[in-house]
Amino acid sequence: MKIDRDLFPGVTKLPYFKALTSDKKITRLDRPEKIMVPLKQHIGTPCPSLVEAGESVEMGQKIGRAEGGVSAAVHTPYSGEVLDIKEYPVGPEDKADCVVIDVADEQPDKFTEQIRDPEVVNSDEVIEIVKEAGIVGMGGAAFPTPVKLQPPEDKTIETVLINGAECEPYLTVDHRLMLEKAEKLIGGAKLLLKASGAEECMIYTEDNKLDALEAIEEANDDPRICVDTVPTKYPQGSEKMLIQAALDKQVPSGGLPFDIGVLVQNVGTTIAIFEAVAYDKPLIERVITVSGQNIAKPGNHMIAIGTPISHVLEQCGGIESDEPTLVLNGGPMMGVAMDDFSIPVMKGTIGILAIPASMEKTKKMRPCVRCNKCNEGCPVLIYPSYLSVCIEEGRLEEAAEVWDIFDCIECGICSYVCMSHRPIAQQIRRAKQEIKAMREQAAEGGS
Amino acid sequence: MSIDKSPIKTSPAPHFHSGVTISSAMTDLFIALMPITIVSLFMLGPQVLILLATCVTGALLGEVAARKYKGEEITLYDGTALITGVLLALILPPAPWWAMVPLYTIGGFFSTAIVKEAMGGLGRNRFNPALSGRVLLLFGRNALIYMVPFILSISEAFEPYLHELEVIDLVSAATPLYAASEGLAIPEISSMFLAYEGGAPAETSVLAVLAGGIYLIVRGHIKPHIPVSVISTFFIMALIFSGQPFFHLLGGGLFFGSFFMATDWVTCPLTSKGQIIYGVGIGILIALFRFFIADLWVSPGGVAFSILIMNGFVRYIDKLTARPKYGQQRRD
Repeated sequence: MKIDRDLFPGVTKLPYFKALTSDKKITRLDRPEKIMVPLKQHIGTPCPSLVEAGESVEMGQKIGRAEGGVSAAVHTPYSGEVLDIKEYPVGPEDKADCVVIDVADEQPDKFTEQIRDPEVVNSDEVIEIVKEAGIVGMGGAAFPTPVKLQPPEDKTIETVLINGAECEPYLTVDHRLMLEKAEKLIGGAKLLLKASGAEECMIYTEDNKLDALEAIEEANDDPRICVDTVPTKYPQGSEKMLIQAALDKQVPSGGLPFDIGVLVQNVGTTIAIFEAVAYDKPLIERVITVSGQNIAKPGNHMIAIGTPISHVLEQCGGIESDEPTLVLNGGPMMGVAMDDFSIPVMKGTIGILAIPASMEKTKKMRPCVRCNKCNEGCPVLIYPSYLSVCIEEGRLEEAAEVWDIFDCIECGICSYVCMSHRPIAQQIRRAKQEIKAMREQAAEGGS
Repeated sequence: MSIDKSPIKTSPAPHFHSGVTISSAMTDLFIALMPITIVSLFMLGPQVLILLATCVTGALLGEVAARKYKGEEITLYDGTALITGVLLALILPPAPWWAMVPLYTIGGFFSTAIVKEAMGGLGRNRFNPALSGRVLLLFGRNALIYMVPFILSISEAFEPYLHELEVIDLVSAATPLYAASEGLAIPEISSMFLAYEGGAPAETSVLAVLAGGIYLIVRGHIKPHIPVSVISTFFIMALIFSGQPFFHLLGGGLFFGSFFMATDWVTCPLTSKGQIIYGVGIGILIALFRFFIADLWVSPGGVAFSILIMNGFVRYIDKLTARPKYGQQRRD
């Protein structure tokens, strides 16, 4: 089955720059001397710390306990000594309690041997192991995986979709994982089928990664699993867009994939699930693409959670340019520009990029000329042009009620194509927060 | 570490931009207007240059004056006022220079100062500025017809000038449509398609207009919905109501109007369905003006009137044809 349907509108082709790292094998960097493991790396409740300053910890030891329904445990990636537990910045506008660990010189050799046969574990056991291992979605959102595996009683999962689309420019994490760990990916897919009770599993990649497709096809020994490509088109890797391309179904507005019987997992997450079950390995490290025109040595690296970004940049030769540079946590379309590199790598960190600031082609904002490019490119079929004007004029209620601001997935296409250089995506992000705050205030005032 | 060597900037996502700007889009529009401008220069001679110069001057002055008045930044660099001037020039008939210099400058000025800037500014005007300027001048000329006896009563000396303006005998030298209505020889269909000497610059070659229109479609600035629906609707009407469908198809400003005027971003619908409704509406109106009320003095401006009338409905059409968002679409 070949998908040649073009199901979401727009033909926005981005410059991809994936060749910078797409043939670079995943390698390990030198160990940092000190790491800083945040106790909240996921969407949901922060973890209470299980350790105290001065305590020795061992690689893989749980240092933060999952709290409440939506949370994920945190483990230390290295053996060493806890120096401090304090609040530190973990993003440009984000702070979290972090366990600072002095990394020991000698590290044990753990999680490399299979200790459990994935064939014999049952569905409940898989979910329990995933919970213990602190696994979250590794495509960027960092939503706790066990929550996705246990939909409400009245919903059943029929199809598992494994998302290897990786549509953001530069990033080659999933591409390399599919090439190098295809067997583990298939193993993880089988576990997902088991845990969710689904009948079929489809692994999708964009058609610019045909070598990955071949590798997975070769490793696949399960008739319930099929592998296919979707057109290379941003934002194909967004959950909703992938579901549409793969199954020709749409997630209802305001709903979740399980409402239409679908479970979507990222390639990295699927492999982490396999490793948790087979090697009893918690989520303590992940693959990150370090790339961009201004980085000295681009590559794909296995990096321990908690490693300071400054250490990663240093290990990759630093930033090699005199021109103004943007250092991004994530891809160029949805990633966050940072200027404080002390922040740590987290479970949801997909890439660290150093790109020329000139890529933004910043110009003065002009009035909307109704050129329609944003509306044509909008994958969720709302009207960014009207939203932008509405927000500019302060009509926030209209933005929410008439123009469906909360359906926006913040992919950034509207800003990318806007010939009036209107920061539409940024306007929408900010307005969403304001509307939410306004509504909360109104609710408090009313009660 | 060499991080510090490079100045680090921060900004909100996304960090890429397509590079297409209003000015670059206007450059494309300018390129699309080149074929018809060049053909009209050959067919109508250097008068076209005076036409362009007066309209563009008027349009630029209009924008500067209006924005100064409103206390806003002068934004001639985006090329939108220039394009309005060129569009207006291409749909006006050449006239004696002493008439063009004051009148057409006023037309250009009116287009940008009143229709664009005073009615909301860039992106907010409801009516096409160039077409509005054209209609203003048409009204002016037709008003002159009624004033002929009055002017002649002041002095007989004005008569040759009024003849030169063609307001006395009304046999405009030129346009094939006039020729037909006056029972004069109808030009060859093939020459109307390739190159014809008469009418406004935009009417000299359907082929050149088509070339420019296709360029705009290829560059992604317009979609074929509007021109195709306008032209095909009109052609069907012409088949039914006139004996010379091809003549009517190629005569007048139909092609230029459908490709360059009806597709103006600011004054056309956003939705594909809406664009088709809008195009069909324009096609029907043009046919109405040409086949049923041709005797009315508005008929030379049939295309302009039709588009301007439909401009008035654009907001309602957009509202009626708004697409369902993702997650609300019924799939068969």
